[in-house]
Amino acid sequence: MIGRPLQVRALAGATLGVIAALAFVPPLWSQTKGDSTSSADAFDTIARVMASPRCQNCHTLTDFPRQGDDRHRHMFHVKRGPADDGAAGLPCSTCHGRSNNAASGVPGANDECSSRPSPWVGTAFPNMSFANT
Amino acid sequence: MTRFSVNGSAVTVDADPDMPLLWALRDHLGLTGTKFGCGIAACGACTVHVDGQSVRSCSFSLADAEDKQVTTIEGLSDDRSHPLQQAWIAEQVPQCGYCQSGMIMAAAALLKDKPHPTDDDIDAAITNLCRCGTYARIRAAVHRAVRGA
Repeated sequence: MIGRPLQVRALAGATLGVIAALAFVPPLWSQTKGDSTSSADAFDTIARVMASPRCQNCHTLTDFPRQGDDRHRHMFHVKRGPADDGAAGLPCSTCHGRSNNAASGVPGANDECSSRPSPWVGTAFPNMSFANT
Repeated sequence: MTRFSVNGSAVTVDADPDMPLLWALRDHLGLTGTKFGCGIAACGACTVHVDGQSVRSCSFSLADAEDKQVTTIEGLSDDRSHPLQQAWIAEQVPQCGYCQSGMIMAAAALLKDKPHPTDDDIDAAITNLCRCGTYARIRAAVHRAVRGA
């Protein structure tokens, strides 16, 4: 079960996700108004980022995060926790820093982003076959 | 130079800022109570507190410790009188003992966030590994520490 109303968290997740994805979008002045091809290309860029396991493994719809490109359940039964930042006494930041850690190989995580469920999880994108949960 | 506090004392470490905090504690500051286990933040033997929160020090860079308050097993109490240390002794938790400093630091972080944890809370918070299999006694010791017995 997920503690807070999913809609609220999904909206917050969507906002953060779009902000993150905009970093990959060409500037507006490089696009022609009404250019549907450019828009579709831009969306594909966003979709590739948002649908990546690197993003979705933390922002699951389950009460636990996932790991790896195969999106297996996070080791040691790590929990989402009531505030989307891990169990009491074991927040995500116990192991995950703000950036990837070269010494341990542990991927970084964004504190502000937390692990709120993403509305992109479960969305079907062409050519993306991994399980969305 | 990285400046931070360890167990209440200000320290300065002159080392690669990407070096894990674990090696600064052990090799530069001589605090060998914190152990190296796996080096990939999986086993928890290297658990310390940074600003009161549990951290796997093998996966926490020295640079990230700048201006932070670090607590190791040596700083949990001056005389082994911390309720968890006393409970660990009373329940005879350790076998080989190698993982136990990390276990106690993980338990201390749990009790800070959740002073009366259930077995499920303990299981969720203490994912540390013990190859001797002391998990049942760890649970008992955490509950004993809560009772203050």
